Amino acid sequence: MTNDRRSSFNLSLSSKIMLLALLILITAFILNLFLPWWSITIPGLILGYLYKEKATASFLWGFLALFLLWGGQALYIHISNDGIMSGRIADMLGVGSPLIVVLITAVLGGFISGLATMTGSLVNQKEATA
Amino acid sequence: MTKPIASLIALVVLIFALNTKFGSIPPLGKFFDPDAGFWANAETTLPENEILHIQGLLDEVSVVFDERRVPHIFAQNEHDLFMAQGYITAQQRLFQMEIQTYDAAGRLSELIGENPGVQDRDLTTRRWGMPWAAEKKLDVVMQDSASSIIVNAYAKGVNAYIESLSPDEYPVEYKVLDAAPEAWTPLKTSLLHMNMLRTLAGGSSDDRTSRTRAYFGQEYIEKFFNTDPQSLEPIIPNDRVWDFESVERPNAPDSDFIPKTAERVQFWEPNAGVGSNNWAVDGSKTASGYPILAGDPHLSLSLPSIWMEMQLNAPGYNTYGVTFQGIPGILIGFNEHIAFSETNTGSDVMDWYQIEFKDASKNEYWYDGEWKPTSKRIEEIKVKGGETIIDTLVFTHHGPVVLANPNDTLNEPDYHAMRWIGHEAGNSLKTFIGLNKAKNYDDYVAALEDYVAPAQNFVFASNEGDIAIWVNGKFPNKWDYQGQSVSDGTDPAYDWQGWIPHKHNPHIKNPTSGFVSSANQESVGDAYPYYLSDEFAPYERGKRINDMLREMENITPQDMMDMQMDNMSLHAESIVPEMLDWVIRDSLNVKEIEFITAMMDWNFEMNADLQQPGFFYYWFREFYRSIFRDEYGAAGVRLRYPDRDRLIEVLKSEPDFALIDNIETEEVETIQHLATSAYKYAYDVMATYFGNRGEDWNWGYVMNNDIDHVGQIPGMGANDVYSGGSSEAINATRFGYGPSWRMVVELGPEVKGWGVYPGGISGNPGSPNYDAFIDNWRLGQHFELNFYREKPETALYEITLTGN
Repeated sequence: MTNDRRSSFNLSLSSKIMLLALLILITAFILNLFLPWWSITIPGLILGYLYKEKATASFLWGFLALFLLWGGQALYIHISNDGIMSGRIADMLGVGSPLIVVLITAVLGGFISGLATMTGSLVNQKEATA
Repeated sequence: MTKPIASLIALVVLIFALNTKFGSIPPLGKFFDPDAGFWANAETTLPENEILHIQGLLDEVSVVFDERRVPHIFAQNEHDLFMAQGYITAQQRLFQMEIQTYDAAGRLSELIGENPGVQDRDLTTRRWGMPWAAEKKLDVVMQDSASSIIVNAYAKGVNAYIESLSPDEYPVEYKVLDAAPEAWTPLKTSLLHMNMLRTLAGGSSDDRTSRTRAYFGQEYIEKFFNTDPQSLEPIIPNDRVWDFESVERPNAPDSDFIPKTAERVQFWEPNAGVGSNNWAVDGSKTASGYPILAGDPHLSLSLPSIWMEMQLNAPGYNTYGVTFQGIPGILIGFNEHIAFSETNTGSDVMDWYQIEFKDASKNEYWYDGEWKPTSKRIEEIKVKGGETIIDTLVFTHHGPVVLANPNDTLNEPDYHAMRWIGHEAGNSLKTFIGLNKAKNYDDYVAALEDYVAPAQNFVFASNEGDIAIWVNGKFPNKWDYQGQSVSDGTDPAYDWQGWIPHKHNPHIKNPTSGFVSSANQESVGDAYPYYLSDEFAPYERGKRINDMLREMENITPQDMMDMQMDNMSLHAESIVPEMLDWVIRDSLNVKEIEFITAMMDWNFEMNADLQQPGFFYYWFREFYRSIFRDEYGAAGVRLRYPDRDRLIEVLKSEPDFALIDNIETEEVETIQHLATSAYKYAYDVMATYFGNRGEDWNWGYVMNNDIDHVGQIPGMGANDVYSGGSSEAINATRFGYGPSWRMVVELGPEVKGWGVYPGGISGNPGSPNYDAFIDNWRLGQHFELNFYREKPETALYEITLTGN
């Protein structure tokens, strides 16, 4: 019973944070269309600040958002290009497989966004304690 | 430090780091960004019809891309034609165009950053006077109003494309290098011409010949370098009568100058990968009754391909062929009346003069009994992220004083000035534009008249039934063997003293044999009244072409395409039977003996699927080297090696030739010993690198045929392109060198062309079209070329360029 209750509590918490991830994903997508790559940190900084989650959670959800966004975009291009470009970049970087190039893209975007979201949340926590 | 500040600093540092290029690692954030990084260059849909507005066009231009994406430009005037050519070339090949001009200008460091090898190349390029001569040549081009309209329009077109680009649309190579394209200028076209000169006419054996003479004596020079092999068939056949009064030849100096050995100065060797074939047969030998012309230039292969197919159509023009990115016009191709193709001429047009300076200031040098002033030019080599390098060029009347090894300090005791045809002002653009528009033999000859260099053997065929070949370029009128070794820079007798008149350049029109051909072999026989050079390609390819053409009747275009894929090695045929005789069977193990049988069964074809060609390659190479290794090694300086064809002739007539004995051993080696130890060596190499005898021994693998990216970016080339061929075979494919374009043209009321090169139209490594023709190329499957008389109804896609 207790287990059940905790999981339902977690679920509602997760859906709130999932909305955070979704919002980051969508705004980052739009900003990235017009602005340089580092614009993907803006949604994380602002939304991380507003959502005031714990540092670790903020990092993870910020990470997830751009992992999915950049990873998804890269995977889509990889497939519709028959892996020609990703294959060449894999050779250039000596990483073996084009899918690793997709993965690097996802992790890179995720890490930057995660760090930004965490920074946003930390700034707000600092203000709250001050 | 508090957590939020630490986190913020970490974020800022990370953004900065991922936006910065470290060494050869691109700025990773920028680079992996799916919207603007390399992913944005991945082609995911076919290009579509477009209407583009380009300022400066006079009229509308249609560019039709056929099913292989070959652009066909239909313009209404000459200006628009070349402006559109510039635009479309940049659209397909911008990075290639730019990196080649950076290279020719000695500016690679500006693009790539600090790298000792790149800096050396830039310094050498400057000291060769490449940018200096490019400026000189441009002056001449600009004085000709027709040429200046063309190069200016071309530059405008390239710039219109560059200006249309946002950074996410830059070719992927710029993203790898974290660089941006710069504006195109007519000077860049001139620089590209210099690049061709360096590749095709930029090499010299003068220093090595001097040392070889000092070491082995004049007799050795006569034997190996001044004697032609018996089997040689010069480009202009020996029965050609030279029915003109030759101009006066300069006198050779009385005493032969002995240059200092100058061991530390090493001049650039002639480019070994360069060669080409071309030939034309007249109507008496063809099925159609009209001439057929074939050409295949051999160069270092690269991706994007060196060439791009294109059709240029405007009033006065309808020409199809291949372009060299950055140079207006078609360089090898055909129109409705004529076809033309070039091979390189080995004329000696780079000579080195030993210079005596008065003092360390190098302000004066000794010449003709007095001190003459030098002139100087400052070269600034900018280095991306580093300090600018300043270099002072010193010029004598011969040319720039070059230290071929840029690491040598200017304290080098011996100085050498370079006299090079590459520095001679001229307008080669005019020649190619003339050929693009030529209608008959007279137009072709008129186009050739102004041509300076690099000297080429221009083969020609026309609808009027004419075939011809001109060994064409501006040739210094030399005394015999002038400039074979290092010259005396103080004595006017060693200077270039005038030129061979253009009408005396070797040529032949409509010979009774019914064909003309060239394969970089010696241009002329002994009867020709002028001296050209002592250094040409071995006879084998040229003789093979002539042997085949002599036999052939009722020739079809397909016969010519098949002939371009011929892998027969006259070189192997000329020595393998003897080498097999020489091998001492008792010294071989079982496996080695077994392979003797295979070698005896070999038909001397350098086919991809055979094991013998690869074995022969290593066997002969080691056999050749073992003859010279001991003596040449003992000399301690770099000497000149004989050509293989002349050496083989000597070995056959003198099997006890003195150099065969290894001077490092007590016993006396015979040719049998060398052939045997080289045989065992070759078997060892094959077994070590390609395993047990089997499919991996196939020549197609052994030749290690890698087609590298033009900027040497790993992953952007094509590795191990399985092919037959050899430098001595008509199909000269090997080790990443070979036929960079194969073209066959059948003249007639309706001119038809076929062609293929190892690449694609698109220069984008993320496009399937980038390397789309490689398989067709390696298998000899030429495409029938879409040569349109007027703009076609259908196309893969079409770009309309409008001026307003």
